[in-house]
Amino acid sequence: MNMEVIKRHFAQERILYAMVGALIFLVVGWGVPDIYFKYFDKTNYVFVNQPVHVNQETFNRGDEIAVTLIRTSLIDTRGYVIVQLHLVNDNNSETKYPLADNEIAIAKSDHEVFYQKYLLPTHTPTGKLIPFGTYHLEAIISYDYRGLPKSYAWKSVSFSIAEKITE
Amino acid sequence: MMPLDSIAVATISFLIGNVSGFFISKMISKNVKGFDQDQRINYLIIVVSLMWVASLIVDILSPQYETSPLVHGIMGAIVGFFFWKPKQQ
Repeated sequence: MNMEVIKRHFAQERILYAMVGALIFLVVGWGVPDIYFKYFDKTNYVFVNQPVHVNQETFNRGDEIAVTLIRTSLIDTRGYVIVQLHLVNDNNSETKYPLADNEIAIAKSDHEVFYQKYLLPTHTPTGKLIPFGTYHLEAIISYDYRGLPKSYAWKSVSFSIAEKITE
Repeated sequence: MMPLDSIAVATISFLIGNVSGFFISKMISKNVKGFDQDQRINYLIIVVSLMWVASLIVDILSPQYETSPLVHGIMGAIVGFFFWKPKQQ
């Protein structure tokens, strides 16, 4: 091969252009999606059909409550779920009681049905009896996507904790 | 996707791209006057740049897809390499 042809094709300037081109494409190619996901992306990659249904309308203190979750996930990831029991007070404020928290594996799925059971508390964290009243469950699923923290909250339908009269 | 499947898909896609590019280039040479070396290089730069933009868009739109930095670098190097034109003597 003619050395002049090789020198012409691989001139130092040309190599420099190639390196600068590579750098520009690298920076823009990494930067644009990164900026988008950090500041503009509002997609829920994990979500649940709401409201979440429970198996009964009335429970007693200490009863087991079963929720039906219909979950869709656009990604495979691991997450952390915190579930709280919310008491709706007369003045519409809410009192929260911790119910459960655990790590979960989330597989890519479309409307996958889960049945999750929780034990309703009998006492508050301060030791008093859980008051009777109208409650609902609220949960937050926290997970990572592309190194960025994301979360999704779900809420159940309302139910009562009351003295159940067994027949 | 198993590694062997990925290699097979990549190889087949590469060959299809090569063959398509060859025939498209021949077709354009026949039908477009003055489709010379410089024009070919310009089209190559445009096609590679468009493919790169497409990969950026898919990177954003598809949760499963993430373009490798190596691919960004290679595409940029190709565009930069062919963007440079030797000085006319």
